[in-house]
Parts: sequence; structure tokens; C-alpha cells
Amino acid sequence: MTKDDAMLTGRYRIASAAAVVLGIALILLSELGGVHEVRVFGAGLISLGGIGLGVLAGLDQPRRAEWLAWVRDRRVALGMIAALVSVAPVVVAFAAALVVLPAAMGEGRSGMALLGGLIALLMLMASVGCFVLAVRAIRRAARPVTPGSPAEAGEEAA
Amino acid sequence: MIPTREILWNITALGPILLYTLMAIPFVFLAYGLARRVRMWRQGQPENRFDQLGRRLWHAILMTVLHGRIVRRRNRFGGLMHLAIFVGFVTLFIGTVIVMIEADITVPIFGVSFYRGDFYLVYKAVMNLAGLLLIGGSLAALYRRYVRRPATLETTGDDVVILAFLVVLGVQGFAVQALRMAVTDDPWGPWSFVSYPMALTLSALPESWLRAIHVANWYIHFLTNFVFLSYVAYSKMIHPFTSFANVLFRRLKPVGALDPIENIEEAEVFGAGKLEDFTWAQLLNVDACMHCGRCLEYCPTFSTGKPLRPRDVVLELAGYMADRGGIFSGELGQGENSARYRWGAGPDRALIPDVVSPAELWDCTTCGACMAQCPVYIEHVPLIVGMRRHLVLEQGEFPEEVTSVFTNLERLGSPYQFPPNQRAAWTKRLDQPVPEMAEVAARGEEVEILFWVGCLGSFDSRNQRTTVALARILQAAGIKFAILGKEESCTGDPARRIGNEYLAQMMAMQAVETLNTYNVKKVVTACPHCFNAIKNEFPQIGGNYEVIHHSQLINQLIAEGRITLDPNSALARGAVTYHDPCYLGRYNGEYDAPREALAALPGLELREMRRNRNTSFCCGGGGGRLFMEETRGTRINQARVREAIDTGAELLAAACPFCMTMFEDGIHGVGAEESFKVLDIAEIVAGSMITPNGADGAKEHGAAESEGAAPESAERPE
Repeated sequence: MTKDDAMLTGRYRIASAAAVVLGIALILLSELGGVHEVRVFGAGLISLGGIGLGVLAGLDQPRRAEWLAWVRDRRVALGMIAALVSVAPVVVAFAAALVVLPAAMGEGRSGMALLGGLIALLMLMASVGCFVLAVRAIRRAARPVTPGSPAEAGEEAA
Repeated sequence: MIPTREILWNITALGPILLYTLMAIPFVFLAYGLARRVRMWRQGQPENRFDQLGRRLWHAILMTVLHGRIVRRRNRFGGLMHLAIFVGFVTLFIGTVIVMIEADITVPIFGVSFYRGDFYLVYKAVMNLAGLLLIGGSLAALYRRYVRRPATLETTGDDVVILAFLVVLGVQGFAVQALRMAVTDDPWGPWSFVSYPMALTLSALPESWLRAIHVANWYIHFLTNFVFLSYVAYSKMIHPFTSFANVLFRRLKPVGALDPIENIEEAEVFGAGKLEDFTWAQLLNVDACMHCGRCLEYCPTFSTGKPLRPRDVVLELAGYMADRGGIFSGELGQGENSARYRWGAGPDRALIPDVVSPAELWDCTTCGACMAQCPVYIEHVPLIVGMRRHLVLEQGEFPEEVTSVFTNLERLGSPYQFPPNQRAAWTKRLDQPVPEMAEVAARGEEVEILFWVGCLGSFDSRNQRTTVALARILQAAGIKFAILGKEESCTGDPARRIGNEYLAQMMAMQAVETLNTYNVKKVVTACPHCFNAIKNEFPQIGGNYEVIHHSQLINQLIAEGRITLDPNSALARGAVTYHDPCYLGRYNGEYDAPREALAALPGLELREMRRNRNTSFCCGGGGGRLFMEETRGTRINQARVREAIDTGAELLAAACPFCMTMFEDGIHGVGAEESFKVLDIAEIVAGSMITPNGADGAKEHGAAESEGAAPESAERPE
């Protein structure tokens, strides 16, 4: 990268960051000041600024940034927390639906309520099942990479 | 009362503030990952793939958005499953954008609302259907991976995490809707046919509870979406971008033509010995793989337990590229029962043999089954041949058996140790003489067609019978033809596929020079490898001819009534199965002519093998494998012969000398010599032909010789 390119990239980076900051300011103005007309512009600036920052970093020389290493080292724990947090509210919702199902069936629309309970049960099962599978997959991903040459692996396969 | 709903119901100002502010994060992650990939692709060599953009764009839409290659008869479950996920996801995305347009543009800026009335009702129903498709498709994918477990599919952590994300996102959407409707008692609720029954059930809960659970679900739903979007660029979920790009920038040249090394005399790099030696489009190729395993379904090496699995070669390259490119995805891509993906194992390994092994490279038959099946047009064969070129031309490493092939090609112009002046020895078996082009030219005459005999057809005793049969057909039809005789040489096909591009170009240039000397316009050949080389690769060096395969010509002669077939011929009875040669079928799209020629014999009953036409299973002889020992796994030719025998046919019809050689060996290998035989289409037709002199064609061709008559000519070439 030439000096001019580096300078240009630096300027784009500043412009992108400024777009994000300005976008956030517009969103605050929209929601706290009631000026909803500017919300779309705020969202647009945040999106464009984010894309700009990402593209500029992505096209730059690969760097093993410390924060990336931190994320990488804790990816299993982070993944499991994320899985738990994403599933917990729907589990609560569907479990609550099943708990109140008898009461709901007594309110005159028992057939529909029963159907609702059944759908809730299926969705609960799908959510919990996916959570379990995802946690297993994330734990498995933490296994150390198997050493060995592809030829050895290939010959074993053969 | 007009049907509509309150957008951001039960959400305070904090909701949109967080929603829009945090939106920067997934955009940064997504853009970073995509840019990182583009940067990786740009490490490759330049290549122009920006021509014919309209055609490219339409094809990319057809093949990816419209699922042209994804939903196929043989992959109906997987294809429809993918279609359901795709339609569900895209519809829900569009639905979200519609709500944003209403809430952020049309209402606040123009004071106009379109999210109401009939549109709103239909929208609700469509979104519910899309949610069902998304969840159903994702669950079907999990079922396929955990219950059906096709042998070609390997489940990685990444696959599971993505599917779990999709299911949970869909479920969250329904939960948020049901919780809202449970409180608002939405009169148009039944249009949300999935959420509505749940809303009725949930309505038994106290309102404060419903509101609290709704808020929690709303926030977690958008945060899950953001985490998912952030994950996209570092996982297989990048495939909507990479697949589309890969199909958009796919190679438009004939699939049978390998790209030559340009200006080879002055080239400094031969083939691909490191990642940067591939073109940028090839690097995009390997990045586009989503390890669906379709390339393995008809792969002869995978089916016979050899080290080469085309998918794994691509993934090994992709993992290596990700390591070197600084993308920190990888470990989630490690297969559950395979040590073959060493993603994240470090960028400092050598491409060959650390990332891709020579065994993998040498096992490929270049049959193209992988490329024909790949839904995103990954071209495995050029990748493999590129690495072979490096091994042969830069490292001098190749299977020992190939040494004599190279030597013979250089010295004698054919892979075999026969002098060129024996090329026309087979003509002595014909009653009528076959002129050579030199004689024809000397007489100042012209011929209608040049018969390119090929090396196997010239020297191999078994394939000479096909050559003789074809010559008899041409003579019977009254076609004025000639051969090159001792002036014919190899087209360079085996050398090129083995990776000796230098020798291949030398052979090809010699052949083109000879053909151009005689101003040849039309060529017929019984060898699909020669056919492919002359038709698709000779134009690269100025050789432009009309090339037809002998099965096409025979079919045409039958249709025109220029040869007459005897329906009572000994060869025209019983069940026959036809094997599609890879270089005729998959590479050049000719499936019908050989079948139609066989169908002209009403006594023959054509039975198809399980794998036929573009899913045909290779004989094992392509890519130079004819000249190499098959030391790993079981034998490909025997697998194919068994498949042919399983049809109940007694006769295997071939249309390629490579296949003929492999099947003769295969029939011996499975011990079926007594009950099963292989004949070329030309032999079957010539053997069933009513000849002008009344000779018994069947005896002259397949029938007599298959009953044990000794071959008349040279021994099998070594």
C-alpha cells in the first residue's frame, strides 16, 4: 500500500466512523426528540458506516488483533451463553403456554387452544432440541485440530 | 375498522435506539468477513470472467435464486429442503424490510401507510407460511443430517449451529407475534394461522406476564438476528454470497477444455504449487463450497474407497486459504468423523503435500461427475490438473508407470511403444483399401471426412476391431474418407490430464499442423478423448474443425438410410446396456446418438444402468488413469461392470476405446467372461449391417471374436 493509499484509507475510516456516530445521534434525536423523520437517515448512516469500517478493515493486511484472539479463546463459552440467551425467552413463553393450557381450554375455544398448546409444544421441542444440538456442536468445535498429513488420512480412508 | 397493527407495540423508545444503534455491529462483521474473502480471492492470478455479464447474471439467478441445480430429481429431499429454507428466509427478510419501510419512511416522512387492509392480511398469512417453511426446512435438514445420514454428507459444528439459528429465529418470530396477539386480542388474528392458536392459549396468562415475556422475546429476537448476521461471513452461511458470485463468474468456455499454460516457453510458474498460483476465480471456487457432498455422489474414487474426495480437496484448499487470509473461522468446520479438514491448523504448510496429498491428485479420473453435480459450479478437475502440472513440471513427481507414456509420446507420438508406421496396420483387415491423406493430397483430391483413428484404435488389438468396424461402416455408406496413417499422433489428451502440459501442447500443435496442412474440415473419431481434444482444445491453438463422434455419424447414417441393418443379426438380439463415456456425455453433452443407434436394432432391448447419462459412472480410465496402476481402494472398472451386469443385460455397449480397455479388464476381473461381453457401438452396427457383398457382419465383428476367436493384430500395448 502506498502512502497515498494509506492516507485515503485513513480518511475513509474516519468518514465511516463519523457516519456511525452521526447515525446514532439521529436515532437518538428520532426516538428521544420525537423527530421520527430522521430515523431512516440515522439507520442508513449507521449501516453505511458499519459497512465502510468492515470493508476497510477486511481489505487491510491480516492482523491477529488481541480482541479477536480473546473472542477466539472464549468462543465456546460465548457460544453457549449466546445459545442459552437466545432460547430462554421462547422456552419461557411456550412453557407458560403449556402451563395455562387447561385454563385456556376452559374459555370456550377449547379446540383452538388445544391446537395452540400443541404448536407451542412442538416449538418448545424444536427450540430445546436445537439448543442441545448447538451446544454439542460448539463443544465439539473446541476439540483440538487433528494433526497429520492428508495423505495419511486418505490412506486410512482407503 | 381497517386491518393493521401497531408497529413496535409494547416497545419503549429504548427498543429502536438499541435496534438501530447496534445494527452497526453485524454490518461491520459482515462487511469485514466479505472483504476479507475478496482480499483472499484477489491473491489469485488474473483472469477475465467479466464478459457476457447479462448471460452470467441470468444464469446465476436461474441456478441459485431459482434453484436450477439445487432441486434435482435425484436430490429431491435435499433440494426441496433447501428451497423451503431459502424461500422462508428470503420472504421473512423482505417482510421485515416492508415493516421498516412503513415505520421509518412512508409514515414518518410522507404520512402514508400501506401496511393495512387486505395487504396487511395477506402479509400476515404469507409471513406465517414463510416462518413455517423456514422452521420446517431447517428441521428437515437436521433430520437429514442426524437420521438419514447420507454417506456423502458430513456434519460439522457449523452446519448444526446455522440450522439451530434458523429454527430459533423462526420460533422467536412466532412467539413474539403470539404474545402480542394474546394481549391485543387482534380481530384479524386467524390470518396468522400459526401464531393465532398459540395466542389463544397464551391469553390465559395475566397481561403483565404476557407483556414482560413479549418484551424479552422481542429484544432477544433482534439480538439473535444480529448475532446470526455477524456469524454469516465466518461460516457456511456465507454461501448465498459466494455461491451466487461463483455461478456469476463461472467459466463459460467448453467444460471439456482445460485452460492451457499461456506462452509456456517463457512461463516461470507451471501449475499450482501454492495458493497464489490458482486464478482468483479458482480461489472463489474453493470458497464457494458448502460441503453438500453432491460431488461425491457419482465420484468413482469416493465410491471405491480411494483417498480422493473432490469435496475434501476443495475444503482443504478453502481451509488453507482461510488460515492464510486471516479469517478466524475454521474450527467449527472440522468434520465429526474425519481428520481431513485441518482448518485452523496453521497457514505455514505447503500446498502439496501438506494440504492436498499427491495420492488425492493422482487418483482423479477427470470424469467430471463432481463438476456436473456441483450446485454452484465448482470446477474440481481444473484445480486438480493445476496441481498435477506443478508436480509433473516443477517437481518431476508422477507415478512411475507414466514415465514410459511420456517417453513414448515424445519419441513415437503415442503413449505406446509402437512405431508410427504401424498406425495403419489395421487397414490390412479390410477388403477395400483405406487411403491416407498424403496419397489423397498427392492425387489432388479431397475427402469428405478425415477418420481420426487415435492411438488405442491404431495399436490396441481389441480397439482395432472397433476401428475396422467403423471403417467398414464408412465404406458401406459410401463415404469418401481418409486417415492420416503414420502422420497421425496423439492429441495430447493423456499428457494434459496427467499434468504434462508442455508435452500436451507439443503433441496438440503437431496434430493441428498436420490437419491444417491437409486443410481438413471435418473429422470423425471413435475416441471421445480425441473428440474432446480436437473439438474443444485444438481451437486454443488454431485448429478449428467440425468434429463428430462415430456414434453420431453412425446414427446419422442409419437415419439417412445409408446403411441397412439386419434385424435378425446375431448381434442384434437380447438385452444391452449402454455406458456413457465421460468425455462424450458429461463433457460434450452427447447422450442420445449412441442410444438411438442401438434403438435402430429392434431386437436389442436397451436397459439403463442405475447411473447413466450425466450421472454415468466412470470406467476408471480417464485423466491418464488408463496408464496407471490402481493400487488404492477397489477397482472402478469392476464396479461399473458389476453395475452393467446387474441390469440383466448380456452385452455392454461402449463408445470409447478407454472404456473398452477398462471393461475388458473389468469383465475378466469379476470373472464374467462367459456370460457377459463388451462391444463398441460400431462393432454392433457393423456386425448387424447388410453388406453389399453379403458378408456376415456379425461373424466378422462381435459375435465371432467374442466367442474366442484370436485377435488378428498386435498384442496389447504396454
